[in-house]
Amino acid sequence: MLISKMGRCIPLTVLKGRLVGVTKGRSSPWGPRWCRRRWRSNSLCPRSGMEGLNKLLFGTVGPFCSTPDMNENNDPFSSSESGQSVTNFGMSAAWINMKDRHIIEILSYVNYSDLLQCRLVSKQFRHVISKSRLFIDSTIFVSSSKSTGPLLLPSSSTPYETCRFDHIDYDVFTGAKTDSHSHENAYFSPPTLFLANLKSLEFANSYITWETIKRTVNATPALERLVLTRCKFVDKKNTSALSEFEEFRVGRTFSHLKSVKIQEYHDIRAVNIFLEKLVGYCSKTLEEIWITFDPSTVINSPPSSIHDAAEIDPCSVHLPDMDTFCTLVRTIIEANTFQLRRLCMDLKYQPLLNIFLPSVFGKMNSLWTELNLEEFLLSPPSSANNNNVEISLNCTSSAQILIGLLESQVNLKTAALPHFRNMGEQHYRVKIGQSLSPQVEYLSLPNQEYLPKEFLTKFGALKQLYLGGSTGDNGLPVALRSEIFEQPKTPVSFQHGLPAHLDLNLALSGSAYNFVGPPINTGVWDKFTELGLGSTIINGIELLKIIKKFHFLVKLEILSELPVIQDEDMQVLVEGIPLLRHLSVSACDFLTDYGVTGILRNSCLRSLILMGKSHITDVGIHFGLRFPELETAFLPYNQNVSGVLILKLWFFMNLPLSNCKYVNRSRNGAYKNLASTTQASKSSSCVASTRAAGRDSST
Amino acid sequence: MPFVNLESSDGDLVKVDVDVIKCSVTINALIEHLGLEDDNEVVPLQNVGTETLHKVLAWAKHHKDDLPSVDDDEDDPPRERRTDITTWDANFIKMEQIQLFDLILAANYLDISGLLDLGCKIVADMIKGKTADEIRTMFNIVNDLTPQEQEQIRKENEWCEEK
Repeated sequence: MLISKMGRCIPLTVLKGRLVGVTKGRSSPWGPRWCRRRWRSNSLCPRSGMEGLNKLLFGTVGPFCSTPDMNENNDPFSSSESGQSVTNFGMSAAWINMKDRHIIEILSYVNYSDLLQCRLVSKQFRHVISKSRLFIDSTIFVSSSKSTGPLLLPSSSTPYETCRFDHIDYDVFTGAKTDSHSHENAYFSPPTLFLANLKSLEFANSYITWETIKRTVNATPALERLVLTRCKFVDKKNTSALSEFEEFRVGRTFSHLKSVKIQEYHDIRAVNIFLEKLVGYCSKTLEEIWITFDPSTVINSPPSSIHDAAEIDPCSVHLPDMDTFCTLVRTIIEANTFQLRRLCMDLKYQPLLNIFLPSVFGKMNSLWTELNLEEFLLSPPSSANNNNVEISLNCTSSAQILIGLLESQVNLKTAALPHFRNMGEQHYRVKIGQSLSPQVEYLSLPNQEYLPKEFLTKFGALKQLYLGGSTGDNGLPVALRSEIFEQPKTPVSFQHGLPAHLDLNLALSGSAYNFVGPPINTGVWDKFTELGLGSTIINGIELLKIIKKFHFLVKLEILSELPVIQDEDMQVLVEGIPLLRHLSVSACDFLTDYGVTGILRNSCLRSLILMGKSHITDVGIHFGLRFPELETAFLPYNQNVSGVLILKLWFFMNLPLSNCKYVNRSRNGAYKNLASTTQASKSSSCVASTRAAGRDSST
Repeated sequence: MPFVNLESSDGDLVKVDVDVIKCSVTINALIEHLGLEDDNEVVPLQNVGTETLHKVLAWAKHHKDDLPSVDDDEDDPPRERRTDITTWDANFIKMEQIQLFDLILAANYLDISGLLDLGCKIVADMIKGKTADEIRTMFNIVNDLTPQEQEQIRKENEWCEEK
């Protein structure tokens, strides 16, 4: 097995991840100069055509042959080379000689997820990873806990710009919640030096005191963005008070904040406490306000460490608290009217949304014209967790306020609106849609009823349209995401033939929906060149109905979680949409060789991405994927693919071999778990992809 | 052609072409600073065993005609440099784990960056896709973390993985 690791499974791309921060694992090599030197010195190896071929082989064959059982039978390359078996067990003392710096060298070639595993290996490993500058970028993550100490020990000289404090009161989690008062040592005092240049500060999953925030903010004069994620405020007695000067600095920083983001899943009072302070400091420079309040998340997800199960009760949100919340939000918006650009109120709690619009914007309608929002999101559909909680506006006054507000916002670029649910007043839905600024580039609406009849001509700048989501009519998550790249030059002609699109509407909304508003003609959909479908309830037949309406599709993504595509569907799809160039299917469990081989050869498919557990074997690859223009093929790993034929495939595709690039995405245990769990195969399918360099294969 | 004699930690003498061993920054600096009086100069290498030394020399011999590494042209994207291990190297590096680590240590001692890279890459490759337990077993590392510490690290890792 090791032989195979060493001899053939050399990854062609080693993704360097950051240990901390949000970007991890994807790109952005840390320690650029260091890495560059490494790679440079390796480029010295003389390369001839044959060697290039072998390199190709490594990358291609590697992912497909990493399981031990495949090494022996299917792969002709292993049998000849693995004559001397390499044992790697029982060799003591070898590792003991390794010094920290060697481990750093080695780990610098390991990607992000593996690095995380390595932290668990031993104290030496953890120490090395935590200390080495190589693994730290300009983002820091501090977790103060008694048992392990900070994850990273930042040095004072580094100009960190973002910082996230997570679980900073760790002891609280082990003891009872109320004990947080008695933990003297648990009081978090951040090292002030490295905070000096911070622009963004986040507290997450912590019991914090207001003093903690003040102390931290005091050390961060350049702060622009403050984020609180699931924080719970506790009263802290006997903390040493800040000096007058420090208070002044804190106040100054607060009043210069540009962005505030609060995410709370449980208690609106926590939000209120923070907003009160913000009002108290007279923040007048806010450009972005983002408040998420989503009790449904807590209900649906298992209780995490911070919130006890007993606490999770949306009924604990009382009306007075909500009133206070609305008043505070209004005060803040009023104070920041002139420069506020982005306002996101992600309120996933029906009673709160009911009173929000009347009591915030209803009471400040004289300021509507002063507001100049570029982004306005009101309870946008959350793609991450499809909890079936319907959030909708359900009174006419809210809708009127919304319409008035939207009409006054002429520079709106991004808009997301909740469903308006009032059966007697259907026409408001159209009005809501019509009130949107024509400048809108990103639009998220509950369903197509909100779209004005001539929406393609009205929204000339529209780049992305999202219909459906968690606010679907019956609460089921339905998403139709369409990206419009080609705007029609001439107005779309309308033919009113209702029966023809009833099917379409049925399929799109995923439920028996009584279609009342002005119909959107199929001619409109014809103009769509890209279509993404994500739903668990669309079945294969409905899918085909939809497909028939979109003759001009160039790109189609089917992102459903359940397998919908069968062999015949696949063939009809590719042949029925003549211009289809990019096809990606997220679950193709029913797909067999026949589905691929049955497609006509003259298809102009350029990229084919299949996820899930397909049953495609070598045969399918050999005889199926021979479209003349094929550039990218993502295939799920399975036991039937040996990889030898994959190599042949590259020849059939007539790609210049030197231009081929292979992406080897592997995560922890990917190779092992792939066959056993669907989850693993979805998230970490081992992927061999090739694309011709220089050409943009938008996958 | 000048030669230099290297003495391994086992006491064996190996006669090497200077051209071959010049890839080692350590020995190159030694030769440059001290000069080569005669062909019988002996350089003792206390950290390198005979077996490892032969391995290193085999590698150095194969790569002696490689272009010298050019440092710093910032404009080139690093991706271009990510060429991979050649067939010869891949065959060369097939050895017992203990030898491999000895090789890495030797490469580090002799300051042969190409060989060090190769070794580290190979070890990194072994680590890839493995769980912590597997890594420990593979390299025979003693787990000196307490269960509480492991739990805490897991928690932190979860946070790192999310988003």
